Amino acid sequence: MTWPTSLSDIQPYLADGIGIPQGRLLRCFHPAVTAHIPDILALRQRVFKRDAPGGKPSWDDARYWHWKYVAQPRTATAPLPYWVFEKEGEIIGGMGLQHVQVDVHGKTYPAIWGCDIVVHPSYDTRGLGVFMNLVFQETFPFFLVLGTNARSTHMLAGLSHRLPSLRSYKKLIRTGPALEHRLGSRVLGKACAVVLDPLYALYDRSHRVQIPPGLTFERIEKSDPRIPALCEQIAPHTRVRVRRSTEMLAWRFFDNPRWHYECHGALFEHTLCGYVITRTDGKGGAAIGMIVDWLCGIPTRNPPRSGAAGEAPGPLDEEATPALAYLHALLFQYGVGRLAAQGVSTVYSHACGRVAEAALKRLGFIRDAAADSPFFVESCPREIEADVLSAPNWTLTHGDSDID
Amino acid sequence: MAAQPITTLEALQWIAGLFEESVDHIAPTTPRDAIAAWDSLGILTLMAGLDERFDIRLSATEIGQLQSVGAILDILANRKCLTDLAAG
Repeated sequence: MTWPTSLSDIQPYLADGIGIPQGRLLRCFHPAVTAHIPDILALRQRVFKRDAPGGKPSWDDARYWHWKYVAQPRTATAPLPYWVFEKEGEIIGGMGLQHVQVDVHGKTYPAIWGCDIVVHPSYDTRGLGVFMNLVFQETFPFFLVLGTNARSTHMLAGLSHRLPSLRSYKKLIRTGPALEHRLGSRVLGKACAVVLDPLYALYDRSHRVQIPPGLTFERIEKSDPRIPALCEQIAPHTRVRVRRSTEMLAWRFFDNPRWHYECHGALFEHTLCGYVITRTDGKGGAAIGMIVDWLCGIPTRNPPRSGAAGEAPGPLDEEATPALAYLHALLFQYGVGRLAAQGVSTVYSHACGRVAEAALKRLGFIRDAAADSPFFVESCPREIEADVLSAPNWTLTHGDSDID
Repeated sequence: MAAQPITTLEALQWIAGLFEESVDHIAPTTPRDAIAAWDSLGILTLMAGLDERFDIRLSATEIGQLQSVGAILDILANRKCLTDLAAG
């Protein structure tokens, strides 16, 4: 038998399962207002407690939720980007969304990422998660989900187009912590690391990429005026990717209350041609580092127009694959160096995109398939379906994922 | 039209097909958590399947009690849809 995958298919059974008349289901699921926030946070706490009995989230969830859904760009001019399912005044389900723009072969489309789906434990496995996803599919013409947990992955696979995952890569910086873990002995691990670290450094040196003359790196701060120009130049040459913008980067990374991010830019002859965003886990001696997000393009020069005062920077050519892979590798290498200087022992990165993944491999990153994040396109406009549902077109980074 | 009763073995095969599991993996003692597809979408598929094939509509209470394959068999037995297993 096939899965029931339309709202009309599932509504009679959801109505039976949660005890609400079928005709009222759609009215029960609606955008939240600020008065709902305490109940939403209380529901999240119940779900956290079910998933990790005795444990508590390591972050300030109220502050995190406020950042994600009240401070999210566009929230001031639109309803709260979080929907609630109410039964007799009680919130028994919720689902968040993030407004983004997706560049598809030179055109920009509004889209949403779905995130933070929760169902009250008393109504778990009744079909409410399916219902909320299907309502979003019908409400939002371009609806994406990345980084679901195991509880939702099978359900989403039945409702959506599953594209290749955001693939996980890792690179060892210091062997000690890994050896300590593997050998089960701190002393033995440290002793082995004394011998192995110099050998590993030699191996790592063979993966280093030469920095070309004229290329420099510098710290990029929130709202750096050079970021919009970089984003605008790259967007027309992108196959399919969520648009980066000053506003998005400021909110997603610089204002994020859960993690501390650093952004560094690569400048070629003083022109910004890329950035890389890194973070450490911020705890326990910052043992883990992550290359979270990046954007780069190869600067080219347009022939000067007749009467123009001089040579202007031209578009950045994403098709210039070897040069672009080289620039990606330079950015990642700089990011790894920053993280190593902060004391991390392992650097992770998650990527979907031929050029970025080739660059990671070139630097000695290895695949860690167990940490891949599944990616789903739940709905998209018909005119771009062929482009959007073609996996090789996508560029994704961890910056696109739901978790933080 | 009244649903045609089936044997317990046929019911197990039907449940296995519904959840896209191997029949070898499905027994009355198999808990819900051991079946990957028995999630939010899986329960709706089960409810639609019971409705279409056996004319059975589950109540919210019955759905809450569905914690194993045996509980599905109990529902079939209670509604006289199994030829070889009486309701307990």
